[in-house]
Amino acid sequence: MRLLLAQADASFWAPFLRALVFDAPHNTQTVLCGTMMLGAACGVVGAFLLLRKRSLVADALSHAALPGVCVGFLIATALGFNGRSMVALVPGAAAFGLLGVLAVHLLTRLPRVKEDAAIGIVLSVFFALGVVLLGIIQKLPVATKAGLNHFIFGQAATMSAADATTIGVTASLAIIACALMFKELRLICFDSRFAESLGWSSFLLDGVLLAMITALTVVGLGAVGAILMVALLIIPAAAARFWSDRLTVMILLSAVMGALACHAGTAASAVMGDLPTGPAIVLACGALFIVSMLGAPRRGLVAVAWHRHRLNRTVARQHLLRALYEHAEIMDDDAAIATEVDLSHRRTWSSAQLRRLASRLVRGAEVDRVDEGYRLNDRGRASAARIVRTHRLWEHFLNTQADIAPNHVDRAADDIEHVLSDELIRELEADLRGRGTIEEGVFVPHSAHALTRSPRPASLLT
Amino acid sequence: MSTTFLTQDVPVLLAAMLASAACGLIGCFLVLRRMSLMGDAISHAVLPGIIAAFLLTKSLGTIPVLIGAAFIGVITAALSELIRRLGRVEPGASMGVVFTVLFALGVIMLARIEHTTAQGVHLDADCVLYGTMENVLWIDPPDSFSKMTDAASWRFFPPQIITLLVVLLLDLVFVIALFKELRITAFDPGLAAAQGISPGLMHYLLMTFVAITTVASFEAVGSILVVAMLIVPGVAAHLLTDRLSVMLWLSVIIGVAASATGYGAAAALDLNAAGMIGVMLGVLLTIIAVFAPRHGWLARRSSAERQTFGTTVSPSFTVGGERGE
Repeated sequence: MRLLLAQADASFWAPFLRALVFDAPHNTQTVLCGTMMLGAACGVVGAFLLLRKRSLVADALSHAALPGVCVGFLIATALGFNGRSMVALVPGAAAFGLLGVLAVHLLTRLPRVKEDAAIGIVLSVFFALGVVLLGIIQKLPVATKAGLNHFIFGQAATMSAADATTIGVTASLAIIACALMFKELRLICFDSRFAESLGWSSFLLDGVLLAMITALTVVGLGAVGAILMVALLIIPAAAARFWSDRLTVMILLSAVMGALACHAGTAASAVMGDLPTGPAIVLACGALFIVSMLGAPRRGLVAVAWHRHRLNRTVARQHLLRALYEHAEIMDDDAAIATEVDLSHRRTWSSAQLRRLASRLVRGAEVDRVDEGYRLNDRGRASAARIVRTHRLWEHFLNTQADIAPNHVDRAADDIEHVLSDELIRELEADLRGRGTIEEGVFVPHSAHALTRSPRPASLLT
Repeated sequence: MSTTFLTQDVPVLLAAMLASAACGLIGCFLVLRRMSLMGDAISHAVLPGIIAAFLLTKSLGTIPVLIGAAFIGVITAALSELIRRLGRVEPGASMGVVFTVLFALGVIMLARIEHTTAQGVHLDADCVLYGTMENVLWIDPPDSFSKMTDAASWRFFPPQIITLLVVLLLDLVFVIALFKELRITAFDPGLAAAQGISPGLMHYLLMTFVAITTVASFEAVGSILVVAMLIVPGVAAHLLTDRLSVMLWLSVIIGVAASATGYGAAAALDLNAAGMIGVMLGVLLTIIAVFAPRHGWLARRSSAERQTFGTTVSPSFTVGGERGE
């Protein structure tokens, strides 16, 4: 059994690894180069498309290209050329792709037609037209018609060296164009109004972007197919967005991920005969997306959850320290012991929560546990004083400058005091001193509202 | 009565009309909620759901397929929402990620099935895309009106049509029973929430029905044309009226009319019927977009001209007298 597994493994992994390092049959190498170039270019252009919030225009475009392919084929055949050649199909697909984009634009100018509906209409109606034309072609008595429907699902395995060259040249041109117009494209992505004030027409630049997408879609149709072409334009860009807030980094990552996904997908499908290339590439893209969404350092879900957890802990700690400090203030005794009941009246803590928080502070040697409650020690009092000071400065600020009534500031202050920077606190203090709101020479200012032992109304107490 | 009329024309036409009626009904709400592309996404994403149902039950029984589709429809909607909210990804892109990956998964599963099952299952990528309208056949129909009442002649009545009929009825019950809730959540989700109607629940219910309707129509018209049937009639109807109930009726009528004329044209010219229906929907939409009484291109152009030359002032501009002074 184990031997069998090892054999099965070897039969998959060895050729897969060989395909990954380009040590594969010549045909596979051609396909690898072609799809990787396509993936990289789609990653670059897709990044701009994502930032322009127009990802799904690619969907409309790739479907709209289908009738174009058919029309190109029909015209070339009628003129007596080989209808399957790229020379015939590319102009047709490009013309219909742009027609589709134009139709989306015109439809959205109608009242009540939103962009999503316009995209849906264009992609389905154009595709329907393509299906009708495909039906006509299928009835034609010409030999070259076979394989036209590969433009829907793609057939990367049959990519010829000439096809790979076409893809490579188109992809390189698109990347170079993006590099040359980087500044302008960045402007319309982030601030199209500003771009227009500088004299750049966002309509024109959008047009350039769409023309590049059309070109890539048209040459990519044969490799990954109309439906999955859209994945290459959207997924690597969306995945790269998790990793960086810098456009250049994001674009580079997007290109690398596009190429990587194409690489892995093509290699896997070269090894497993019944694994179609286009869908394999899309699955590889999906895997990259999941990894990025979960694991990216700052925007990834794990990082965000961890950060939130840390923040919650910090906030809870600060609340408890302040509660202990203010309790001592009310009792007018630094060594006052706060019982669990005293503390739970100050916040909506359950007793289990309170015990957990307190024991964390006890472990941190900031609070002493005394038989019937808790007491701040010297270290704890120093940190609590800083926290209370920040809270009260912010309260005073809200009270005097933001017109929030004294009995409301406590909660309002709560939201933001935990994230104030030291510099801001110093500024706040200087400002409030200048206005005479707080006294000179006191580290912890007085509270903006009256402190009572149980801030909750008596009726709520049992 | 020619023999092909009952065996072929009637079933196909009936299937197309039922599919477009069901899609038109549900599609209105997608259009109003600005979620038209959810129809596109779900119609692609249901593919793995159908195949999973097939693998589990070893048959293409209607009920398992519909359940699988409904399940995956809700998954698609939920995943898109999850990625949009948690990953702060733009809504269009999050949908694009989900449906392309699910569709790719479906295509791969299909390829494996074709590879492993020797007996030809009539489930391949082409039939998902284009539909298999020509398979909707009524073998051995009654050859005279007197036999119409004979149960034996209904034995081979195409099951696809029965499925579509049931789904259309389900959609009707859904829309009629929850009309108020659907309307409020479509136009004002905030108000709906304030009145105790959960917009989230309505969202996922709607997605379930979109998925069921899509799959039932799939077999007849294919995945892309389902998108046309979902979106185009709703948009066209919305250009004609301001009332939701009227919009729903108009949407169904437009869908059925496109199915009838599209099928007629395809039969006359010997073209692909499903494709022609989609093209016909596009033609109808174009006509309505140009000639619609208030929101059409012509009407708006003439009202813009009137305003430019000041011969008539539309009432909305004189109310309160803020303008024109």
